Amino acid sequence: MKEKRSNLAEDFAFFEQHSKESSLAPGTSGQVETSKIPKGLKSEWAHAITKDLVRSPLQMATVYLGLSVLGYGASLAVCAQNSLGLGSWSHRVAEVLHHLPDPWCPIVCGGVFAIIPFAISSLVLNRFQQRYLMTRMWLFFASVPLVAAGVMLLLPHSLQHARLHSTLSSSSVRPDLLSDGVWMALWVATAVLLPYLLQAIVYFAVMPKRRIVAAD
Amino acid sequence: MDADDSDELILECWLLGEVAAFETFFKRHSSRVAAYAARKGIPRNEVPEVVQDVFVKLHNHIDKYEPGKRALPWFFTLVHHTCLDRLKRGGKGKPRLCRLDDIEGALGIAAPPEGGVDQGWSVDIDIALRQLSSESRQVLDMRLMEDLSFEEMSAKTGKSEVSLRKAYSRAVANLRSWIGAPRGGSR
Repeated sequence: MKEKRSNLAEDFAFFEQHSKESSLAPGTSGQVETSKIPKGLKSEWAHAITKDLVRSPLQMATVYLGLSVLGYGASLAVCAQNSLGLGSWSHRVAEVLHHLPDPWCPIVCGGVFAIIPFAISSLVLNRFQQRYLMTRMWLFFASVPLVAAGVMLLLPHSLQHARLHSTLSSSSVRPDLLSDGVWMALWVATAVLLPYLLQAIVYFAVMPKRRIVAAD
Repeated sequence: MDADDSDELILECWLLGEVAAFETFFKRHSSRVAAYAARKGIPRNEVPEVVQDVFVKLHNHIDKYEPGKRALPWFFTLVHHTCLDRLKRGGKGKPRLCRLDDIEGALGIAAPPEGGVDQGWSVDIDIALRQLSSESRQVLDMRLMEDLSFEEMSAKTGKSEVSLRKAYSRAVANLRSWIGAPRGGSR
């Protein structure tokens, strides 16, 4: 066993030594000598690895923005928000949700609005891209739900929740307990905080665990 | 990604999804992996495949790298095991000629103390088997894998029992000299 270990130590010494002698050009203080580089980076397997990773922040921002627009579009197709919906079905779903007792109406509405873009980006982006977004572009990443909620807030009907209820066809619409301002505040809080909360869970799932070494 | 960056930093950047980190790490270490694979007895034409296996494996298992830990020993372990796997498979999924434990028995190599497989010996024997002539390997195969007697081997090949015994002894002696195994324990 000892002999095997010493063989492994010799192997490691060879492995460690090799690049010092042949991969670094003399006098370049760490420059990689290009003549020694294999052509492997142009091969199919290297291309597959490269596709998993992020080439530039701009590329990642474009992809994430595209996915977010798609996600919020899908969300508005599922459930209309502040009278803005894509298709008649979304208005029907919104009507059903408006029958929920307060404060669940704004919370569920905000949740539906936020969860679909989150689900789409989580499904499409791999763990490397998720890590990149959360560490290298966290400000941009965090601003997308804020901007989306802000845009919804600026819609003409956003602060007319009471009026919206009066237009609902059903006679069994619950009485309005929350003012328009409180309703909207709850909606914005859910639409912004839910993706942050879910993303925090994803962060702990995709980030490697650092081993905590106890001090002597 | 700078060429002066440490391996630890590069692995962390790779982990966080930077393509430049992968390219820098590959450029820095691919020739080292190739040299090590060649040193472990992997045929020259299979070395690029080993380099590919190493980097694909590294990409798939990079989550297991603990940031802050020294990168090169961790990477070396991965390279070493990839080389061992390749040697055990005998390249491109070809079936191995002889069972290593049979060869170890014929060479009289003691089992490792814990009773597990001693990979160091197995790999040495595997490399040594590649050095033998096809005739010697055929004799070992018949004797150890098919468990044939010399009489049965003679009937199968049409060669005399004496010449088959000599060929078998020669093959075992060659294996012993290659791996430096102790004498005794032949079948």
